[in-house]
Amino acid sequence: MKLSPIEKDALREIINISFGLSASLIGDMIDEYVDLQVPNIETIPIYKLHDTIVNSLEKPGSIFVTKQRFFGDFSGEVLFSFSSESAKSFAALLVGEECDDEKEIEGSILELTNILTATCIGKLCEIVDTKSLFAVPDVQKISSSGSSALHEALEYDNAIVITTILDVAKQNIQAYMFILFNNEMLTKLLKTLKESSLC
Amino acid sequence: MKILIVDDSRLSRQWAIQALPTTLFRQAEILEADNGEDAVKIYKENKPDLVLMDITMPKKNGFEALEEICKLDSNAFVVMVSADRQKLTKDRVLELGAKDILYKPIDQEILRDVLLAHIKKG
Repeated sequence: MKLSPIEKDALREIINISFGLSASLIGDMIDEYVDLQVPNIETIPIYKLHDTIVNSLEKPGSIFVTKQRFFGDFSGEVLFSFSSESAKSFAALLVGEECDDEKEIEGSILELTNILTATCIGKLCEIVDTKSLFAVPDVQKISSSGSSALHEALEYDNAIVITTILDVAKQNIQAYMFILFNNEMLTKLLKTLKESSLC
Repeated sequence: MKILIVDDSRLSRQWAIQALPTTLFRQAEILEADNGEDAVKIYKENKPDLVLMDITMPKKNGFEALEEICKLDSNAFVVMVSADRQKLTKDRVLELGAKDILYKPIDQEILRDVLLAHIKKG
């Protein structure tokens, strides 16, 4: 399901607004100015998810993927992918020093996932006038050369891919956010945006 | 009266236009730009009475456009509109000459209060 330019503009702006709130929360956590940008947004069929995550890496290596489900009338799953470098950089900002401890790195990006998912899905729910409950997020490390470890995502049909750049303390932390929906949910979201004259 | 709305998002420009209090701006001519560079150009040519401007935009961002507009016209009435709620951002735009900053999506009542407060002051 491809987004029209107007649907893309509406979704990008809604996500921008929720990321603005996230930036302020993250800024408070690390006591730094945070610039959180959404340079691109697109939809892909779910079978392209693994390749999209792997291809997002500048060089081969391992990727941290965090996942968080949301349930209710509006349901789906949010995934974030971080290169090892970006995950490490974010953990260092959060703990205030270089960080090599994998548990610490995972904890940091799970915290980031929690904030971004809650503000972003919360804003989308507000717009479609419904509520969602959030599951506890989890994290897995996958290798860019390995086979798909994301098979469970196949219960969805589409992913909205949101390129996310977190520019903080001269560090460029890049992550990709994927909101996974089945066709019914994506259609519902786009229909509601249209009915609200948002697109 | 002329009002310039600057935002790279069509949706946000629409929100801003809808939020303008009709009692104050019934007859206003609305000008639009989707980047900071065009905003400065339109400002030079039209000298709008009010500018509502986003920060994160292509070509020239809101900080740069604000700085140029305030250099061109020290009495420019620019209100920034952003999703960024950080204090540092607010401090920076006020320092550059904005009259205020509002957060997206614009709340009609807050916009009206901000405009009325500045009209009374001015």
